[in-house]
Amino acid sequence: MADPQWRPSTRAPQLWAINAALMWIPVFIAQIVWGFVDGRWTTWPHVAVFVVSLAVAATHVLVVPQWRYRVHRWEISADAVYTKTGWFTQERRIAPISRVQTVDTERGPLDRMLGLATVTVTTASSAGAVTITALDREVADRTVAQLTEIAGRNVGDAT
Amino acid sequence: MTAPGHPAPPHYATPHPAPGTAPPEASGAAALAAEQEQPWLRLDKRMLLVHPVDEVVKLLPVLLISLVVGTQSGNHTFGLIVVAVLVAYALLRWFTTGYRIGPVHVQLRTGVFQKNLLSVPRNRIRSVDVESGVLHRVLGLSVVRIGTGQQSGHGDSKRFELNALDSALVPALRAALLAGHREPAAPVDAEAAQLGADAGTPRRETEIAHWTPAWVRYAPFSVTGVLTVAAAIGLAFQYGLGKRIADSSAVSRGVDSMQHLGIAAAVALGLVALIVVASGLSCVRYLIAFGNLRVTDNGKVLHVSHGLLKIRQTTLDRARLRGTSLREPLLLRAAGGAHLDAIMTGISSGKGQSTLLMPQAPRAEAERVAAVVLGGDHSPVELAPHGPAARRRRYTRALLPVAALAVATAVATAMGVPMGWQAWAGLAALAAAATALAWDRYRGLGHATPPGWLITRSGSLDRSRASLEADGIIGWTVRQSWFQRRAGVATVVAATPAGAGHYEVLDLPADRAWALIETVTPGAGDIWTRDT
Repeated sequence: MADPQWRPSTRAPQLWAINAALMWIPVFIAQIVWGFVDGRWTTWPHVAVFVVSLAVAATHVLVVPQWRYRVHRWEISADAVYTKTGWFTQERRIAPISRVQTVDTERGPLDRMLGLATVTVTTASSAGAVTITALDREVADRTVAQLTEIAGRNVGDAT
Repeated sequence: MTAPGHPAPPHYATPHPAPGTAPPEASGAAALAAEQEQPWLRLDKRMLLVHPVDEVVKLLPVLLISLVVGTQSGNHTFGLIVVAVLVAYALLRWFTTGYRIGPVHVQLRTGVFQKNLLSVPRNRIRSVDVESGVLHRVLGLSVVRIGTGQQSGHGDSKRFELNALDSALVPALRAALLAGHREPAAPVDAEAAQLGADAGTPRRETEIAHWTPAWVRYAPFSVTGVLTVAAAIGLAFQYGLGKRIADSSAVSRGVDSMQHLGIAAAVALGLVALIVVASGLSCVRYLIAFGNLRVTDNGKVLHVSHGLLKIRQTTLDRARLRGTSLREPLLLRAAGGAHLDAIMTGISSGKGQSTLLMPQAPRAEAERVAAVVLGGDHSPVELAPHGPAARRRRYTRALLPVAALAVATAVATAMGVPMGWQAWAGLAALAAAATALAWDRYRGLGHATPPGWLITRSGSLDRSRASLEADGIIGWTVRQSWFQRRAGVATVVAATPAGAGHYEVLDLPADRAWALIETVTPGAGDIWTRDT
């Protein structure tokens, strides 16, 4: 089975990195609070926890987005949507367009800042949804238009 | 709640449909208008008796507390007030509940304080379940539950439940609601509805499964029995019952004699007692829940009815049937039994909607029913095993936690924490159990792809075999963790709107994954298969 051809936006790693960094901020705040409350922030439990979480956070923010970017691919043919996602656990998903029920575009604050959008193609099964993350905005709009157009040609209740 | 004063359009001239009857399904503005003209109907009057009893039973703990308080203070007014409020609330529930079954929608409005209107389009009705408890049966009532197969509906407020109607009205109503969309809209009138319902019901019903009392022997082989007893004991101890029992003279005498017997014997005795009680309880539960099970098939729908005290009737539409799932938990499998569930589009067993075809029953019988339900030449097929990599993964996954424990024990010993031989014996026993589990898990792993079907089986403690119709599969996922990529295997997930929503083929060799997808749903891989 060939990989799908298209990559997400080149700004996708930035998005994932910022998301990861935001996730780690509360952890570090908690550690700082713990250090202050305890009053002995130079003792080894504090330093050890800090070093370990710093290492994990650095990996999460610097390495994982690049890894993810290498994996992520997507493609839409006349009959199906095909994505490849993940990093440690990788998933390839195929949803036939004849079974598509809705096509959503999602643009969070970070997405908007970076000019990105996420397209979600849902089917009647909750396990069958296909998400194409971090696309350039124009690409996302074009994709949605294309998908709705193709999906509109199909009739039936897609179950 | 009376009929509006406007005259109904001439060809819908039935301002007062009889309760519990359904006009034929229709669409369009005329039908909608007619529906708006329909009066709201009340549930059966006999519910005025049932509701108070239900409410009182529901709040029995509160009542008991107030009774205790009343006894202690010598003042029962509080308890009486509680009962009065409950009864008043229950009566109010009846007065504030209305329903109407129109040609386009079925509607239910409920709520004493917070009004709630639930409107379900007739063409979205996927299932009509009928249930009647003891009290309902005595009074000749049935609860009708209408399911739309909505995946996202949460909570009780979203459930369309007519509690309750006269049992005599129910079969016709159910047939009419499930009859489906028919053009053109016939004149709405109770008799026509009755006729339409009869016409919509195919004539010949064949019985495909019949319960025999001997099946009770499979009841103890479920975990639920043991869990029930354990939970009951836990609760009892929570409320200090344990201490009181332990303090009672009979038990202390027992404890004395047990000290002579030795701890081991006492534990063994306790276990045997637990098992006996649990088995008895699960037999009783099984009898009450599944006694008189009957599955009939008329070519369009399957009717399942079961229960000794509370009779539950489920109608499974064959047009929405996508397969069956045969569950064989370890204990039940050892006893030669199995469960059988239908995989239905839009009905997931998690939300009180039943897809049960067979409770614990002989495996051969469950397999026979599965074959009949699936129809055609669905003869038993050999499942293809998943190969050495999958086997290796079963063993590593089962044994790794044990190895981690062993390392921890060794480290603890090295650090000077005294670890008796018991720790190592325990570890050895765990390792043996894990090995056996891995062996059984691999033995259970398999899949088959007869034309038009995907059959997949996995698990040991919870082994289940799903037979899924290829038409019901609406998407595929091939998942590989880092370890799976190294082992060269992949998990293939078939997404479906039916049943559990996804069915997995575990640890298939990666190169066979896409071939499997192509076999089951030709063309699903689309242009990408050609590029390899």
